Amino acid sequence: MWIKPWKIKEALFIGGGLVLTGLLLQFTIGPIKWDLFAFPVNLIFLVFWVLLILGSWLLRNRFYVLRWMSSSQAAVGAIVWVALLTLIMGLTKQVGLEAFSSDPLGITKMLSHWAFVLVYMWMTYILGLVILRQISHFTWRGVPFLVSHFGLFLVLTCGTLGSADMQRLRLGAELEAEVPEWRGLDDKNNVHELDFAVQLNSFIMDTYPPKLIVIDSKSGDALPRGKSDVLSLEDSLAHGRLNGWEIHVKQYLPFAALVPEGSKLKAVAWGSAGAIPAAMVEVINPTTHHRISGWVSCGSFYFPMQVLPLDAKTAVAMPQLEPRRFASDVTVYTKDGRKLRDTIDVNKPLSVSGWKIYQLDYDHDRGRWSRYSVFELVRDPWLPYVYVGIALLLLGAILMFVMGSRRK
Amino acid sequence: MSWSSFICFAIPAILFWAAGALFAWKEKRPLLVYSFTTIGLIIFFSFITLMWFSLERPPLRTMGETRLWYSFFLPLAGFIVYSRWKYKWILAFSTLLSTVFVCINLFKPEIHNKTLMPALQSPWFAPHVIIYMFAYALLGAAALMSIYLLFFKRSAVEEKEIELTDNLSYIGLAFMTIGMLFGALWAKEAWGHYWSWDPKETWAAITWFSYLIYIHFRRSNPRHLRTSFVMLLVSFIFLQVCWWGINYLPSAQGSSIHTYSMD
Repeated sequence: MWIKPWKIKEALFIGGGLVLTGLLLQFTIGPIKWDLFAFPVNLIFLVFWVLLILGSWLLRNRFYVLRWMSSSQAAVGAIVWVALLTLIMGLTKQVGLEAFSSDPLGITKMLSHWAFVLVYMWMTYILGLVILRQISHFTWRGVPFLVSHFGLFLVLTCGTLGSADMQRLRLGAELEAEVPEWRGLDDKNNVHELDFAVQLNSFIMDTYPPKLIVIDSKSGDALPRGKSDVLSLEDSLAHGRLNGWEIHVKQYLPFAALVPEGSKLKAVAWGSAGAIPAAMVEVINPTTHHRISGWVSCGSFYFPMQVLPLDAKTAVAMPQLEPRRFASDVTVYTKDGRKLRDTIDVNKPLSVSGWKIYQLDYDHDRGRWSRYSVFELVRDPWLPYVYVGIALLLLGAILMFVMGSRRK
Repeated sequence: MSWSSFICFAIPAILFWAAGALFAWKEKRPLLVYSFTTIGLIIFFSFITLMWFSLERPPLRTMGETRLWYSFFLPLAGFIVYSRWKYKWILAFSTLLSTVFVCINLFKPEIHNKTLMPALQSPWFAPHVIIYMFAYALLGAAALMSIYLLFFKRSAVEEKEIELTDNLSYIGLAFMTIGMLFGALWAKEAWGHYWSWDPKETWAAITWFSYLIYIHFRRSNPRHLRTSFVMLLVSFIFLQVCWWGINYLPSAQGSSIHTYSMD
């Protein structure tokens, strides 16, 4: 070892040294506190980081180690350590960034672990040197190499440094609220005032067609266990077999209320909040041909669930409706007097003054009749730079595909 | 147009692809290889287009519809790789994989009505999954090559075999990178952040780095072939953990937002 030219062994040794240093730092000053990197600390750090890489590049002819750092031997060593620590992270159950790690070494909170951060920094440092080397020997053939390495450098650097500036808040808006909501809560439930306010005009939910299943009356499990039969009410007067029973839907009401009729409950069409889908079901016993009929419904916050008992052990039931889509019709008022009306869907956030507003949640007890909507607000000022990195990585990958591993 | 007529499009398309693959395998009549494969692709894509019109939305919502695109993209990607590198087996491989997915769609038709939760209803869904699947297919082929060269090949490893293994890994990694980045862009739209170190993402990173080690190792130590092949196999094991092993991994239980229950 340590005979020039250095090989992977030396690189692995350097990585081991970094991990050891990381462990010592972890024991002495504790895990990294990412909050401390909030603007402008991250920007200052970035300047020093770039200067460090540029300086190392300029001094490369003076020191062998700096020249060697941009070799693929060094790269292999660094990526091996990065992969190894990421592997440990993948094999241990991680705690959240707010929690304390649940082991003495700190590996259950890998993202704040010095060893983890040091080896990732080392890899990024190598990336920086490799990029400079490639620029100084520019060739068109080297473009895919340059583009993908620079993309990864940007994603790692800006993604990490930007994470301290990222804000994630929750905002709950109620229907018919007297004033629009302008306060968001962070994950420690601190209140943050925003420079815009959200008014919920309506909550929208489409559901998949209700289904019928046969359940075990005691446990509530769908039958047959493991691969339960399902009868979808897509076609309103559906018929089929469930767990051996012949089922005919005689009447279907998408919006109904349950009213007493003699000793039983009966469904009638009804359109107000809390309305339930209800199916009049006739079941024929496969052996005795005896007929049983009655109303079945999944119920709501307003009406109880209604099942049709078949025998002592089983019953026909309608599981809870599954949302196909949930969204909020909102009006957003900004401080500078703008007013914006739009619909926020899952997967379709709304952008307002540097924030993205995501549809997050609603009142699950009330389901489609929810009277409030929960939004997640995200602000990430470093995102554009990360996106440039992602775009370059994408371009690099496409070029890599087009060119393959052609060598001289 | 509905799923009931799928078989009338799927079978002719597969037959054309198989014919193209056969000519490619025999290394005869390249014109027939290209035209048969293209005809198959056109037939299959007509079904997708007609479905698109009749559904009044792109057919990307259900698992069955996603498989439809996968079945289409596999021979297409095979076609591109073939036209670029002339690997005689690639079309047979892509046709076979595509047939598997066509068969699932033919024999398990109830999945077409399967509900899809709102978080999965995104235009990113299909490309993210399809590109990953294609990457998995290529890296699977690379893993097979390394098993063959490590354990079964008696004579010395030939230059063109190494080149093939390298190319498969390169293209596979390129696709994997694209799939991962599409996932990041989608995650930003769906979950608010492009990378959350969710167990699935952590394992995707492990797999990605592992293939990067292979590529960099090949550059720096081109003569250590056995070590490289072992690296490919280890990487492929990581890939399996990332793909489905994660569902059984104790460290990933209950904390992954990538698990969408199928019940």
